[in-house]
Order: sequence, then structure tokens, then C-alpha cells
Amino acid sequence: MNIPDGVEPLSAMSLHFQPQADKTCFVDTTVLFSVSYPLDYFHEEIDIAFNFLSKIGGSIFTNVNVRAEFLENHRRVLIAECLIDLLEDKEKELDGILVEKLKSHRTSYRRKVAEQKSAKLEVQQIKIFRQLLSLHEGPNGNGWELFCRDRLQGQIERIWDATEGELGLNSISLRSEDKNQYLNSTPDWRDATSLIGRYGIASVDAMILNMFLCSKIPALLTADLEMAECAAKESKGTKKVFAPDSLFDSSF
Amino acid sequence: MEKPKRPKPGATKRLRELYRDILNRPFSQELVDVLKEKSRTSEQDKKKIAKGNRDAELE
Repeated sequence: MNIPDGVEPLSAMSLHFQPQADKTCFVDTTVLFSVSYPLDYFHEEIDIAFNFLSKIGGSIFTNVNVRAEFLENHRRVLIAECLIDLLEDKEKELDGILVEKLKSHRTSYRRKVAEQKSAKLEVQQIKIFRQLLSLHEGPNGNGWELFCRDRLQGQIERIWDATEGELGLNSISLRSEDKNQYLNSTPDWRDATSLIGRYGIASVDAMILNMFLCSKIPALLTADLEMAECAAKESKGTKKVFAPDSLFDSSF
Repeated sequence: MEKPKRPKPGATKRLRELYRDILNRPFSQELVDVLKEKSRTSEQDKKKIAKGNRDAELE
């Protein structure tokens, strides 16, 4: 796959962040999720990039849309993995149809991982497991509620809190006056809507991209080729856009 | 201008350790006991749910 105009590989970051350069960068959900999820296809490359940023005293910016997507991605991947754990730990004690469904999920999960695809469980599949586990009632809640209590409750917050704290994330918020120092202009709904219309991207991606374009942050890190291309086109060479090297080599 | 926060050294390694720790949490005996209990839903309806049939009518 050819590298889109204006998009540079992560390995070239060191050339951009020279000693006197502004060492701030904006990250989207793909990058933040990847660094916090060890099985993600881009984890190692993103890991190197963050270690480099830490070494040069760089700072990482994000916004509330990235946080919302980050939490949703972790919900979907954590449920996928915990369901497999449930099968592998407790198969002999589970209901026949539930076991069948869990085995089918495990096969699908393994295939996705082998094909280097996202291991996130589809929302519709989560609803099916919710229904199946909810059929079993207990005095302190049904099977789904207890499953969530055992493996999810408090854990998604731990992942976010640790990611935010360890990476020293800076959130650009429109509500917080003291953070507006990082904005050149106030993001406008119409601009985000225009991005959706011109590139056909998801609304949440448009809001993230719009925030980056309105900010003073000179660089974007993303593992989403579509986001990278749109950011490069919209910033017209005024900002740097970096993506994992392997994204250009793969067939994604 | 307020100074932005920065990543801590070794941050990504600690995030990996956290994820491993989260996946190593055991399931409670209470969950296993509840899932062992037979539900009152028929096997046929359970199959419908497992296939994702939204119209499956539960008992």
C-alpha cells in the first residue's frame, strides 16, 4: 500500500521532534487503545513511539470523544476475552447451549487474532451473551450481572485512570477555560459535519479530527489510515500526521 | 501558558502489567452456582437467542 501524501511513518517521528520543536502531539482512539491493549496489532510500534515521546519530554493531547471511544473499545475487547476465560475455566459447569455459543465465540476470536483483525466483540453479539447469561437468576443478580461484577466492574475505570495517569494525558476541553490555550479556534459543529459529508467518515472521527485541526498541536498520531489521510488533506502541510509503519505495508 | 503533563518513564510497561492483572481475576463461586442453575427457558428458545433471533419469545 502506498503512503498517502502528507502521512509519515511513526519511525520518522524523531526527525520531526528536533530539540527546539514543539513536542506536543494529538492522539486518536486507535493509538490510545493500542498502547493500552497488549494484543493490538500495532501495540509494539505505538509502544516505541510513546517511549520516544517520554524520552524527549513530549506531551500527549486528546479529547472527550477519544475517551468515549477508548472506553467502548475496551468494553468490547474485555467482554470478548472474559467470555473465553469463562469457557476455559468453567466449561464443565455451564449450560450446553451457552457452552456451544462460547465455543463459537472462541473460534471466531482466535481466527480474528490469527488474521490480525480487531478482537473486539460485535455489539449484537454482546447483547446475545447478555440475554443468555441473564436467563440464569440468582438471589444477588442474574448471570450477566454477576459476570460483569466479577470481571468488568471497576476494571474499565482502572484501564482509563492508568492510561490517563501514566501517559500524562492532556484533555482539550471546550468547557475548561484554562485548556483553551491549546486552541487556535473554537471547534464548530458545522465544520465537523462538513468533514462527515466530504470524506464519509464517522461522526466521532469527524469531531476528533475537527478538534485536532482547531488546535495548536502540530502533530497527530493515528493507526487509522482514513483518519490519517483526512488529517493530512485538511491540514494542508501545516501539521504532521504519523501512522504506524506496518500500516503502509499491510493489506488493511 | 500552563505546562502540559508528560508521560511517566516506563508507562507502557505498567499498562501491560495492569491488563494482565485484570485478565487474571477469578470468577466467583456465586457466578458458577447461578450459571449451573437450570433456567426456565426452553432449549429451543435458548437456541433462538444464541442465533441472535430478536423475535425469540422467552417464557
